Amino acid sequence: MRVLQNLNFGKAVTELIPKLFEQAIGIVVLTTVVGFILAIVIGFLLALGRLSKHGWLRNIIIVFQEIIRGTPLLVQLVYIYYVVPLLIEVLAYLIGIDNYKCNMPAVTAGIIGIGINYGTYISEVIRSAILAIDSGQTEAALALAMSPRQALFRIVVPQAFRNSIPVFGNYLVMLVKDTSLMAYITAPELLLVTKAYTSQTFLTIESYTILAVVYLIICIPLSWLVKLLEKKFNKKYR
Amino acid sequence: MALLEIKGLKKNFGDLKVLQNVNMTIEEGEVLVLIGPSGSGKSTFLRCLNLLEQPSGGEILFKGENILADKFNVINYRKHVGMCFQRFNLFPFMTVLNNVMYSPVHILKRKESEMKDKAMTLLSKVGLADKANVYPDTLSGGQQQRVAIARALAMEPEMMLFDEPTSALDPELVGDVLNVMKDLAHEGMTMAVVTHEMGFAREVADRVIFMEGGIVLEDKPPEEMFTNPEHDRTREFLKRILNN
Ligand SMILES: Nc1ncnc2c1ncn2[C@@H]1O[C@H](COP(=O)(O)OP(=O)(O)OP(=O)(O)O)[C@@H](O)[C@H]1O
Ligand SMILES: [Mg+2]
Repeated sequence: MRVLQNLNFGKAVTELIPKLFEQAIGIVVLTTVVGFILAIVIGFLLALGRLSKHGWLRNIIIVFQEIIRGTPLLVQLVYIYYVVPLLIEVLAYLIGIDNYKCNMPAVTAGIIGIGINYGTYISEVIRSAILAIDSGQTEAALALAMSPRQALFRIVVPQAFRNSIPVFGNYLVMLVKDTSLMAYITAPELLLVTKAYTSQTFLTIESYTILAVVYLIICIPLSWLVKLLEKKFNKKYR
Repeated sequence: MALLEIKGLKKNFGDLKVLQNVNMTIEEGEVLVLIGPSGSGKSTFLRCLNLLEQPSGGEILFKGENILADKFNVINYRKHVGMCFQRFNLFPFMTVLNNVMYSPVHILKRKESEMKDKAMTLLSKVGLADKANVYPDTLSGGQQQRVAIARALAMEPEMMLFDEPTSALDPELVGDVLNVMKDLAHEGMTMAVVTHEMGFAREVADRVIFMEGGIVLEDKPPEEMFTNPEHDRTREFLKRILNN
């Protein structure tokens, strides 16, 4: 078969791998780290909002969560990258700023989209972890003259957060893989760089195989690490 | 003036009337033991005393001041009333020492170095100085309850509430906890204790209070309560738990 005779892994390895490292890995790491931190912050805020005593705030958050969970991440990324800048321009026009050009770098859009999407899922993890803490903890804190807010933030939340860490880890591995969706909004991450290379060289089999292997090399050790974390944090406090 | 004066206290959960009309006076230094069948409202009553439960009606006067008034500072009040729970409720992510020190240092703003000495003294008092730096989950139930007592005492309360402090414990661990509570009683701490430990009641209680159906059915010194109860219901209840 022609395809097999023309296979040239040597060339693809020596050319594509340096490209991936120079151009793409940095973006994947950046998106993962910043996106994940953002997701935890958003998740935390949404969880606290859901536990608020204000019904209107709870309802707004529930609607927001439904929207995020009811649409694909890829669509959200496209929306943030292409639609949101236009909306911002319209808004600027409405408040009297003419000809405002909103430039949203693709990586920024990716980080925001991933942060919001993962934050929404993580918020449910944090919320149920908070609800799962025995009410006796809050009562003991109150009996020791803490305010309800102090009881929540100083006694309940630290325990809920620790109990959530193993689940966070699983989301982290998923998030790394989902950075590939940013290819669609032109962020030069691993998939897009690989795609560009194949269209120049037609080394399709080689390139995408290398891409898959690179993801495995990132994700397998990461999930081992997560398993270790899980072991550590599923134990009691000692 | 009485330390606590409770007048016509009521508590409903929806349609369920748990406390109907409770009247009681607690003098400084008094030790009260509350007994009564399950569901009679003992825990609810105790929890009303430090406002973990908001009463539905009546009055609670602390040194003459109505703690149910709108502008009453509940958090400040709780500094004066310590509580120990059936399930201990120690903070599992803090060491024993930090459990004892946390609120005095972070809420009462006591100096950390002084508080550490004080906490160690309290832990020695409950016989657990050697456990200061371990986490609560490594302790037995009896040890955890003694830490919980030390933690409450670190706030220097004027009164202590105990809700069945020994009923989650293995029988052989009950004695150590009761001994700590007896010491506390002999030092003059005002205490309200829900318990089925009649030996404890006989030895240290000034008054035993029998609750039934959300009211105080009988309130008298232990000798009288145990030898000469007024109501049949009290007699039946005492017979049942003394035979256990
Ligand atoms: N938060 C609550 N909501 C609804 N009902 C409650 C609540 N707390 C207590 N009750 C009910 O109030 C009644 C009295 O409960 P309470 O815990 O005060 O009784 P108790 O005398 O302490 O009983 P036990 O000996 O079993 O501890 C029970 O019927 C209980 O189901
Ligand atoms: Mg009870």
